[in-house]
Amino acid sequence: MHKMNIKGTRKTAIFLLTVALLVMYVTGRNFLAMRQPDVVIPADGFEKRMLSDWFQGIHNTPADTPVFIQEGQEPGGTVLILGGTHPNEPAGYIAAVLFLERAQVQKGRLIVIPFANNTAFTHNSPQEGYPQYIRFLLPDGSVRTFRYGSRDTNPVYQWPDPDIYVHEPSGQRLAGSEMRNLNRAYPGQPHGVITQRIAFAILELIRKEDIDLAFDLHEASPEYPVVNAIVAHEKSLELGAMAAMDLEGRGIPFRLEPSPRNLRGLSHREWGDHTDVMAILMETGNPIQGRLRGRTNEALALTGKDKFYQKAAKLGSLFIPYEDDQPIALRTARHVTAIMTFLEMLGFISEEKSVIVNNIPDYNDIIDKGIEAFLLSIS
Amino acid sequence: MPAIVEWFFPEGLYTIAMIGVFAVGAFTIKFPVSIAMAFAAIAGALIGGAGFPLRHLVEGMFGYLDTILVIATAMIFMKTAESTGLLEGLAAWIIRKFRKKPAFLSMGLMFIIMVPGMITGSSTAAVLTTGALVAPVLLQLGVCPHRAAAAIAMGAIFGMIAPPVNLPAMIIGGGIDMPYSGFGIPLIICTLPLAIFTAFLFIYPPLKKGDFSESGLEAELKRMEREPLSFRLFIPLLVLIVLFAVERVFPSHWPSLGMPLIFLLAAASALFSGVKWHPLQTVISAINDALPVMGILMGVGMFIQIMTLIGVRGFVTVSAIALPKWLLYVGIGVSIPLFGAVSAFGSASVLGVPFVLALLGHNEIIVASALSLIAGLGDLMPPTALAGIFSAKVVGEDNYLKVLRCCIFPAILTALWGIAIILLANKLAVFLF
Amino acid sequence: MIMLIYRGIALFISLVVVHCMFQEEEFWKQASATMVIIPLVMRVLLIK
Ligand SMILES: [Zn+2]
Repeated sequence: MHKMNIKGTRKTAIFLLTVALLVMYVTGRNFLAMRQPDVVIPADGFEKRMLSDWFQGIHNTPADTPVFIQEGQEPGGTVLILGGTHPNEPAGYIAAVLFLERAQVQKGRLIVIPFANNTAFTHNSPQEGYPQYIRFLLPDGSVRTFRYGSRDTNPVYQWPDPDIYVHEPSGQRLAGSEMRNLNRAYPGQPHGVITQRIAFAILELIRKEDIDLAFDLHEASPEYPVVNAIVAHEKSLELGAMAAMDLEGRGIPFRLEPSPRNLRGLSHREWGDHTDVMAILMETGNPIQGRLRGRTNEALALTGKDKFYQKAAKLGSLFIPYEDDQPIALRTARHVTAIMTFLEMLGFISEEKSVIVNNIPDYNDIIDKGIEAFLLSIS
Repeated sequence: MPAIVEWFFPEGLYTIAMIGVFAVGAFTIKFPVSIAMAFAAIAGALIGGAGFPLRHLVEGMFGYLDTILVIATAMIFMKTAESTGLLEGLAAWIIRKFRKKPAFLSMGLMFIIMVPGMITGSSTAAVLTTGALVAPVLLQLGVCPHRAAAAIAMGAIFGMIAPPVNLPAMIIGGGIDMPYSGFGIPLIICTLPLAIFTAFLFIYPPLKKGDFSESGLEAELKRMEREPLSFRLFIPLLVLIVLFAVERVFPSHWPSLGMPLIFLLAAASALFSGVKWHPLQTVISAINDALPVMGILMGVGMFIQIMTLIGVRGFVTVSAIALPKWLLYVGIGVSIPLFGAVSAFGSASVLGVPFVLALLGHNEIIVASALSLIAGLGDLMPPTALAGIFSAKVVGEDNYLKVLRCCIFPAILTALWGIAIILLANKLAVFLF
Repeated sequence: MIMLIYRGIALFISLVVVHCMFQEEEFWKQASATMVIIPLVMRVLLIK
């Protein structure tokens, strides 16, 4: 075959620009659709507020995000559950949504932030081929849809990245794109970029609401050493050890990792250093996040079933027990059950700070019946 | 089904199909590389059962949006320095000053090539700035164009890997939550010996022989000195150096302007250099020159997105880490540069991170440093071969493959050096930390 | 502020690319330039 030479003229240039406009229009509509917030149905007793109530600096910005508070009849401690720090880690925010839609607080207060980095839910990271939505088919035939977002803040709200991200106040240097990672932004900066302001707002909430115990829910790739893990600050290490031991006894093993002192900007480090809270970060194993994954789509996000992870598991390269799959029900159940175990242990440590939450399905229930059995119908 | 067949189907087939469509498009039909890449991505999506995923094709391009801004603005800066006569004047000055000390001149020129890469973390920036400055010097001193371009390409890559800024190492570190600190000395060990070796391989021999005609050189030097080197002529270069230096030295007290803005400010400052030049024409010719590479990066972005979507990326990655231990090092030396054909940064992310994890137990900082060195070689791998393409351009060679041929020997040496450092990681760590 | 400047830079470069497209005499090179324009303009408009 010889060179396919087509002459370029003003007309072809105009034609190509028209095609470009069309492509921008079609894909632009698709990208903008992700800015529509997900619908959640809080259980009775939750009061909805906005994160900007604690820090005005994010008021009227796309970063503002709902905060749900439920207070029990009996006085007790306050617990915070944070989902959606990384919107590409669905078991984290689905676990938070499950608490939001079911919890009946008997003692103390429960605060749920299901979509912590709202600005990261509105886009997908380039070159990852991620799905934009995950869906659950409920028993009554209706569908619950959640966005599958990005690890980082949408660059539309924070751009450009610096060449090197210098974490404040420690001076630690990280790759520039990490500046859009909420879990490298703590303790936050009131006058910083949007991600730093979200971090600051969350710290303000922890301080002003006197939170006793706080969870940051994540997922990690199965080949990453900190997975199926509880990461605990010094202040929460004892509680973490009690919970991990109890979970182990019930056949739900978690690695307990002390929060490294030299790794700055992460929730389990800075929440603990800058407030009185007992900070806990938890990770489950999520194949779609991993670099070894094969075909990337909604099914992989929901089932975790992947040919190449099966191969990698046989090679011994993974840090989770992986046989065939790693369904979102299992991953969410781990988060939910671990949180409930922590609440139990909190009661053992301090009666006055204890928090009792009812109506949360147990581990086997979630795995057997699936997430869809415990989400509320929107129809 | 035998395991190997089950392993290969269908992702192995998709891999071959995507590469095949690219090769036919680029080499048989002779489409621009960017268009061949785009067609390969579209073909991959169709064959892989993903339909015609317009959203994914567009989203993939965004992975290199920041990179194309850097390339476009760096090119504008370089063309400006060329238009004002600064580049050639400075080159002439260096030749006059140091031509009697060949060893010193060889290493000095190599270091000058490396500096912008060290500061910006981009080999392209190095080639297009000081690489372009050094190119006429090398040619005048009797270095043949291919070897001159090879020296610039290799120096630019060593500069990109050398401290203080090394983006592939940061990318690898980001993948395993390792902060970018303590990399300084390991990265010097990775790059300095190779840089000195390359200087003596390509630059020193002709300088030592003094194999150039004095009168021809003198005439050429006179021509290059058409603009006397005044302070005002240096303003763009000074602005560039000062803005970069301030940002690096006082990162917490000085706002990060970013490379594109710095390049543009430096180029704009040339308006005060007291020389007549045509800003608009310079900008247009710069973008025209940068457009092929900007297009390639857009094509590569589509390609990576689709290969991830249909499972080709997982196939490549797991095939690489499934290699038996003794083959693992060969795999590192071969697969990381090969994948660099798509992009060096992409290779650091897609393969660098799994390899660090496969090598747990070796000192991670040293392993990541060495892997970043090998990933740097990706900038020599066609069709993207950013370092090769641009260095060919600055010496005026049309066929960059001729330049790459000269790079084969130092590149192999670089890969071996990187693997040796990984093997010795724990022994080195005892000395260093 | 810095974001506004960068949107300006992206706009400036896309305009120059469009100019180069009209000067270009090969269709496929024009097409390649089109690929460069799409993400630049979508970032200028803060769509993606
Ligand atoms: Zn996470």
